[in-house]
Amino acid sequence: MKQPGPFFSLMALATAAFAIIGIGSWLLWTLLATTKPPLPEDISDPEVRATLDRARARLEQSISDGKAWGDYGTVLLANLFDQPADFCFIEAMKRDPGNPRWPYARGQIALKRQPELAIAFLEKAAQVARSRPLYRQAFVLTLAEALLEKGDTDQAEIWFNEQLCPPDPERARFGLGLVAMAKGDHATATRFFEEAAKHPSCRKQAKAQLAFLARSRGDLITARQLESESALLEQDPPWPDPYLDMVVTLQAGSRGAQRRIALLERDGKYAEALEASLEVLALKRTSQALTGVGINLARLRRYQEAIPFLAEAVQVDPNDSNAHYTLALVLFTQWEISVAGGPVGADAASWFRQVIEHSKKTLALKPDHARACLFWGLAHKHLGENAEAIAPLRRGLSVEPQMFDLHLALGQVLAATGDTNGAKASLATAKQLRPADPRPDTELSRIK
Amino acid sequence: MAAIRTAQPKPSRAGSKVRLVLFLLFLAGCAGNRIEKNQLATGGWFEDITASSGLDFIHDPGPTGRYFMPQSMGSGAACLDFDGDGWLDIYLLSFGGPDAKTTNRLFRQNTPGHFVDATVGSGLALSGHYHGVAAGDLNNDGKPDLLLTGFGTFKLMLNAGNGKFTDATAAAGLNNLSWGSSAALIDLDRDGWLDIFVVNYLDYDPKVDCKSPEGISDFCGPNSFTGTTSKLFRNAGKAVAQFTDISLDSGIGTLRGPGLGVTVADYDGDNWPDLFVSNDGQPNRLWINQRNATFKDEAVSRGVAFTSIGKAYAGMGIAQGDVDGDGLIDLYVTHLGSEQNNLWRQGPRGQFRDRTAESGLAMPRWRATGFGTLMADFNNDGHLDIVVVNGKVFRGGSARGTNLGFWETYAEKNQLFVNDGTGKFTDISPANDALCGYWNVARGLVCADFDNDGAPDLLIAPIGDRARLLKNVAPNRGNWLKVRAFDPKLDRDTYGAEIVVKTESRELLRVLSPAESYLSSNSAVAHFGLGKASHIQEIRVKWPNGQPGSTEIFPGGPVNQNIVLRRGEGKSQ
Repeated sequence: MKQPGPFFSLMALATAAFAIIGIGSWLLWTLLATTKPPLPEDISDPEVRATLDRARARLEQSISDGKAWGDYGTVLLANLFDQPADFCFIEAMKRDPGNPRWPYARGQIALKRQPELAIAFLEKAAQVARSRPLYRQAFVLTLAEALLEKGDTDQAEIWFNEQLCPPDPERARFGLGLVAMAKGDHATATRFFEEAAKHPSCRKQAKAQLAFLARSRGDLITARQLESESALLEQDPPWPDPYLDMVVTLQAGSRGAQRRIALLERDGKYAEALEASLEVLALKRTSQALTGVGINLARLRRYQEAIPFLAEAVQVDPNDSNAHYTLALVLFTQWEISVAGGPVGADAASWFRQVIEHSKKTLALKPDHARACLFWGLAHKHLGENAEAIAPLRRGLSVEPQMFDLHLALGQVLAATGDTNGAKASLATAKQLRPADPRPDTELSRIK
Repeated sequence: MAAIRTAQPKPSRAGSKVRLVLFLLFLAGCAGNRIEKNQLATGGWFEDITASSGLDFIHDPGPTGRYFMPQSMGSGAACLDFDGDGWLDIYLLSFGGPDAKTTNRLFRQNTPGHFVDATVGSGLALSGHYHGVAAGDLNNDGKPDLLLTGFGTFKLMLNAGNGKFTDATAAAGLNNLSWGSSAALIDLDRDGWLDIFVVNYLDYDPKVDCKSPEGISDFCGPNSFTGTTSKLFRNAGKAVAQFTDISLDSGIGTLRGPGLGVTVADYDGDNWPDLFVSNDGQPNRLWINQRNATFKDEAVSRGVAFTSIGKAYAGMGIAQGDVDGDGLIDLYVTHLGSEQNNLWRQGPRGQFRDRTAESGLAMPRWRATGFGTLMADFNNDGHLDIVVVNGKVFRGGSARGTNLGFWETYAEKNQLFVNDGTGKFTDISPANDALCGYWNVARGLVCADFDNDGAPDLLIAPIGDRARLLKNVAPNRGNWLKVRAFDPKLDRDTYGAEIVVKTESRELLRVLSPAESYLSSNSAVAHFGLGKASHIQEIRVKWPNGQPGSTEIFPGGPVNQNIVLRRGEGKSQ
């Protein structure tokens, strides 16, 4: 039998090779192409559902695109669906390996759920971000902080040192301060914390660390001073992070709306907070939504407009203590301004009676509501019913003994009822609580 | 350590000392694994004896489905010898609400490890939303009383004797309208009368509706509300219990929480009791006694407000003890599963540093949301171990097939960490099935040697489930000593006493303070594991009154016994 020639053998081999490559490619393409984007089940918030549906639909139009997977994962992450988000980031990393956001996102998820895996993802993100300066600093510093918490001080120090550069060298300086603390090098730690303390994202924390260092070296005066300063500061806001700062803006539904409103209120942007509250109200007329609109109108001094919303709130849910309290507060504020210094007419008396009624209802629903006690007492005071004001004010103080307004009001009504000693004690406490406020001294001088 | 000795090979005939050293180093490096393997071989350190103990208590959390946040915080338990028979009894709290048919329950230990229900007729069959309990003799009549906290409830139950308690709250001038969590009894002014410290949590509004990512209702977290201030009540020092609210005057009432746990000890070494409060998502508080009935929060400057990377985690339960044998009390606080539990070691005196990572506690076998926690020497090797009981506060856990119903999604497993003697810990949870192999939504935790066999046992108080009593069956336990520090003039155990037991090889420190863990009140008897020590050289007791001669030395003696040290009977130092 004649043997097949070399050409034929070569052709057979080549054909087999092409077949293997072709089948393999087809399998790979099929695998990648048919990976289904996850969709969480049982989403009851329609806005969240719609947001995810839209994001998923965009992904399905570019199912093999890694960035599309990552973007969908980001929307899932923003709405706290960590596990399906992680699935998407796995796909994104395979298809878009040059994008540092995907391993970073996985690292952030792992920090919460599986911290032992987080470092590897964050290292990958730091490595890939070498070519993406926008993200590099935040990603590297997150890695450094995770390493430091895990106890890998030396490696953390290397990363912190690398990032002693714009835009935020203070975060690295703060980290190096922590490294120095861990190593017992208090002098170096002090230097770094003093430099970092200028940044709003670590002002409170840096002072706290400096207070510790001051006490460590026996400087108790400085320690106490720094401790007081740190205590007076608001909580440090998070460090700027281009990726995470974008993620939170994608939060949809009631959670997202509440977050946006809270931020606007925190920043004193009450007109915008009112707009956002009205949008929430348009979706569903709950007592909370009505109260949100009412309080923001009141903050804009539009009391006449606020009151109907709040009155509706207590009708919609008579068991909403916050609605009752807010109505009492706004009623009181409006009429206190209108009767300032003058006699209380019949109309005003009626409004103060409503303040008392709603304050009592607040306390019936929430017995520890100290501010409701305050308005209850103040309403009696404005009606000239000083004796009746005493009990609610004392009750408020049993809950919040540090409330200046309660001590001031109690001092005033005790003075009016002839309890001079009690009045002086209350006003002295008020003065201690707020030394710069002239009112306790004014009231004390009236007693004398 | 015993494992290493039994595994130690004979020296090589070839005299290869290098190989021997390397081998020993290898064994030392594997000490953690060996400790665990021993536990695996013997089935763990604990045995669940609930069924045979007579402790028949199922916690009532109240109706589920409303996601009433206080419900998720659970209830605690107390151990106390209410009838003075020398055996520790148990009081378990429930949360069914004021109209519930279920109540808190009192169990009397009638034989070692066995309990009978003594609730009926005791005055302690209370229904409400009860969270925390502190046990101690508040009127110095020789009988321990109970201080109960909760949501919308706050009670002082005085022990009248004969198994009866009476509600003396109003008569004693006590009132706390805020949401109370843990409580501690502390003689803040060293006048011999116990004062009351109540940790308050949040300004909670039940109308606030919180949701899971899926938009399903879930329990709110503390970030949805503001913290409230704690309360301090000063004992007037009369046979008829009377208290004055000094919260504001003392400084305690000037700073908000939200507080959950509390421990008491002299943290700055001036012989005045201080308070440590764990805050949930806010910096912890270290209230340093200013010696004039006032306190200052110095947590920040003393290093215990934040973690090593500057975080204020969700502080829940607290365990305290000297984990590294340096004579200083260290603090361990439990946090959320997405965070880590942290160990702050004290050193120098009055200064703390977060040393979680170097203590081997940063990477446990599993992460969980920790609540009740305690330090105790479970294997009597002379080193304090750490136990943590866990349970989530948000839905989404991995438990399946339990009988917990609504609570299954919140269930987690408990943890046990063994101390190698240097303050470094190994997670031996997988080898302790009775304690750590059980899904629960655990909250309260009490540690006491209930059966008086010289080994600390555990009582776990979970939400919506049976309270569990775990008997210590740790193998190869070392020797032990149990010490009561009793003041005959006060007719009670001396809370705040510092007890140091000296053996031939070391000194061991304990602070007598039942306020520890979460919502719970622990044994007022100090337990010491002594390892192989066969003799006590001496025992020093620093009585907490600061008077000259307040430290007394008592003679040593044999090990493996219970002793009562009476003030005035030692030699003043």
